[in-house]
Amino acid sequence: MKKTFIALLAALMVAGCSSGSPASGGPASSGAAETKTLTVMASQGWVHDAELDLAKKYEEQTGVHIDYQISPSDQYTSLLTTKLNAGQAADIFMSQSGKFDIVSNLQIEKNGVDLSDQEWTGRLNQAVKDQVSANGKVYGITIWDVSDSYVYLYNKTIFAKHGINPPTSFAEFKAACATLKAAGIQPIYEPMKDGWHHQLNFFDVSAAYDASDPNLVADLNANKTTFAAHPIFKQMIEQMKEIYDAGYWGDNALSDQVSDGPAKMAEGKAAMYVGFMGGLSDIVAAKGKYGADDFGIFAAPYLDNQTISETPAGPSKFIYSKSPNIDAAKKYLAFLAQPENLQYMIDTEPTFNAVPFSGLKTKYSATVSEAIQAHKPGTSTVYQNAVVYLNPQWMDFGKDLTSYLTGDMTADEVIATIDQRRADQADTAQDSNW
Amino acid sequence: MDKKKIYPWYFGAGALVLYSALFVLPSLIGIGYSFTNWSSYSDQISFVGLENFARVFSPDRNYLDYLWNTLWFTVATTVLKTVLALAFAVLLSTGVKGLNVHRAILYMPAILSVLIVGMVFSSILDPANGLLNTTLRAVGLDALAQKWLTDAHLAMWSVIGVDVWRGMGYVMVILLVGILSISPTYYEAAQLDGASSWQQFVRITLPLLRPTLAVAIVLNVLYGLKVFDIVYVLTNGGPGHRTEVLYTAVFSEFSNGRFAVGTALSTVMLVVMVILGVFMIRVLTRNEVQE
Amino acid sequence: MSRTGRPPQARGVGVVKNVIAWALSAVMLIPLLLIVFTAFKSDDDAQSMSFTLPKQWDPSTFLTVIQQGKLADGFLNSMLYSTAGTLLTVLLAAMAAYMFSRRRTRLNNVLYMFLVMGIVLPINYVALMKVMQIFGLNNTRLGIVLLYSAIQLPFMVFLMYGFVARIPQELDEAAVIDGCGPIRLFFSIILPLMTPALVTATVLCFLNMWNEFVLPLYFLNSTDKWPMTLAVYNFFGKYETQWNLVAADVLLTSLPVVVMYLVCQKYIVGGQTAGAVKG
Repeated sequence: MKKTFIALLAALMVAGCSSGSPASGGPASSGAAETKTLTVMASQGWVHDAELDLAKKYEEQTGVHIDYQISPSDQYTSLLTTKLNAGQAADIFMSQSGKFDIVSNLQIEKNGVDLSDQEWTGRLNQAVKDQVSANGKVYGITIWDVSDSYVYLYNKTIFAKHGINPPTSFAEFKAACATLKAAGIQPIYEPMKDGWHHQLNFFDVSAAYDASDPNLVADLNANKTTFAAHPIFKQMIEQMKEIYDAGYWGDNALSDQVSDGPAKMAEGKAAMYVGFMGGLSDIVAAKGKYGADDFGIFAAPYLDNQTISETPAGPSKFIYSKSPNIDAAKKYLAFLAQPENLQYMIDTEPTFNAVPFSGLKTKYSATVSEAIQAHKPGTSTVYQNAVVYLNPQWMDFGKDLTSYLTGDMTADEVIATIDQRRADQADTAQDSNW
Repeated sequence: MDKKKIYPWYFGAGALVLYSALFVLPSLIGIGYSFTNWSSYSDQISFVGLENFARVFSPDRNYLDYLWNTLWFTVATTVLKTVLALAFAVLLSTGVKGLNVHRAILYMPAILSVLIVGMVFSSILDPANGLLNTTLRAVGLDALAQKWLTDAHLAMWSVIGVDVWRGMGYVMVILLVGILSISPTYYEAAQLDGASSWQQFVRITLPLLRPTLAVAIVLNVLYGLKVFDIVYVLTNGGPGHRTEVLYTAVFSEFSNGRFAVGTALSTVMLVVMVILGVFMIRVLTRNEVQE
Repeated sequence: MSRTGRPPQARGVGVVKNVIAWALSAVMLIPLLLIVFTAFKSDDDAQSMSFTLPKQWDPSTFLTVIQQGKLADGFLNSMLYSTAGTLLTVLLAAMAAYMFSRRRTRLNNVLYMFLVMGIVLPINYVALMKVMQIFGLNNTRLGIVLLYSAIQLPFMVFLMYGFVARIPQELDEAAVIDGCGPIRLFFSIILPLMTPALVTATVLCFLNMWNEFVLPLYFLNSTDKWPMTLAVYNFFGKYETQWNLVAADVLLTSLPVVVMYLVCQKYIVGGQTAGAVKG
């Protein structure tokens, strides 16, 4: 033990002395110096194996090692803002895109690098590009299946057996749940433990909000109105409570976990689940009683909604303006954006059906194509990407919603708190509209 | 004797410099920032006076509830750990075979990272398949099977319970050593005088154990007020906000980039703890200083 | 009461005591077995963490974890940070505790309080990062070691302060008369006498530093400098978690501290508070 101690101490001295040379961070001479390693900060779940394969290939081709730093998702936002604030972020940092959030939370115009001149920006889907752009300049790249959206995945076989059709209104939804529950089947698997899942529906039914008042998004963003002033939001969470109180989320929704979702569906333990359309592949991969042909898709039926909203945002990569390796980072992003590499991602990553670049072959299954045709007119955007200062309170709102469902808060309090948090944020961001 | 020469100042310098530079300095900067509108949204930082503190203490925010939760957690864990640890330590101090093995085992939870404890207990306390409920149901106590971490009224107690599980052995081992170091002659004399076990405990064990107990209590109180990770890994403040404590709130302010509000909150906490800490350490070291 | 042989009642009490002791130990141990069971499960068997014996004991998870999580590198890093940090902390803390305890001037008492106050000081990550930057310590191994030390110092000084006071001051005087300088006095006379406190401090310090996972996340910018504790996040997916891999990783990561604790446990508990309280 003692010898190891001494050897390690010696090692430390050496490490301590050599640590002066900048690995990353310090303002090294950019451009001219050869880049050996590029660092990428990401939250867990954002980097798929397909991308790691490509990174390996890139290293073989160019000798540049890509060092992916995967951090716990619950620490990630805090970590990223801290590192950006202190000028210590990685060469490439990942973050959810969002035209408001990247400007306010990430201060992308200061922390990001303008990538508008990159070839791939011409191939990137416009709606997606908007979410990584500020003042007309493109700052990031979204290599993610954003054609996908959260929907209701349901077990067609179980539905058929009990004579239920996919609901087209909230009343039908409730009736379907009641039938299933009476038959001893848990209607919906709703994992609340992770804290980010159960509030999805609230943000997904934006088509219904838009229908109630076409100017709502614009007015909210200009601070001309509030969530509390529009009863539709309260109505939405009241409907959720109705479903929750009736026990349609099962007895243990509060401790159910997202990671168990696919298995529960595959086993037929629950008949419905809110997930990505690409998530169908996870259900199939869970190898339960039911397979690919047993599942179908419908849109979140609260407020009689029939539209699957667009989700133009997803985990995206940005280049850090203080990185000494900006050019090398641009090259790596360009490499990832090469059509054959994007195609490789679609082909290899089971949860991807498409990535938002033109000229690629998608792999939508018949089920997904049908759902897209029937429910996805492309007119409404999920609320967290449409309304400013909403996405950052995702987790906090989730907690409030839980408090409401379990009876610790009233519906009015929950809605009022959304407004309060938006005001707080606008205040911190010194927004002139507030 | 020249104390200055035998005990030169530079002996303390290393610790003071390192601690001041990397621990106190950032905290002071933080306190300074709590009077500003510092956030991740803007580079312009301006002085806002007591605005953040007003927000912390304002009744329409939940911070006072979180403070209450924190105090509740602190008192409950301190009392439970100390009382249980003392009872078991007294009970096991004599007549137990392989005491060292037990000591090693009882201490084990304290050396594992909180992350692991969180994982294990999320599984054990799972209402459907968790070990606790399955066991209760297996022995016919279905009525006792609960939604341990998600029931609004139970969640805090479950967190407290897990924390007691984690820390009780540690306290107990400390107390056990204290008890074992009490000279047996005291007890022999007491037995000759016909003192009952309870009298022996109250008259001999307790007074002689007082300093050890005091340290254990102080450390537990400070730990309780600073609690973050055990709550975070078990409930993350939920269900809803039922188990939210001050440092989970600080964490969420920081995550949202509202650095100044977060720092203001932790500054308030710091002041409370320094006052409490200094007071308690004073009480503890009082005898010694008079030496 | 006969003087030879134990009264039957006492023997009964003894059995009860042993049963309680084992029950208590079981309560502490069973949750930990959960990890062991899960670690040996195959992928299909481990879709959730449950307290069932593995259908088949499958040790291959450990190999997967070591390779995928680059645990060997992580182990060396953890070892480096914890060892160097512990040595530095214990040495500085012992010296400071000794000086403050022997020379109780008004100023020194204040400085001691100031130091010990660190036990309750919260860490402000954003401000800390700026300070680390000023000193050029961000993303360096040296920086992490110094940071670990700075954070552990207050408790360690507190732990040793009272202990030093129990070493009779007459020893110092005799040594000085024999011509001992302050440095030799401390290192060759006082330090050996502090062994129990030093061992306790060493073990506690090492445990805390080994288990640390937030600081390296913030203050090390490249994965080849990351300690072992961070590797576990490679096995948590956002949508699915491979519990067998997580458990195997956790088991391997805790192994060194468990071993260290078992080896040193007889020293730990004695020194834990003895130092702090007994004047």
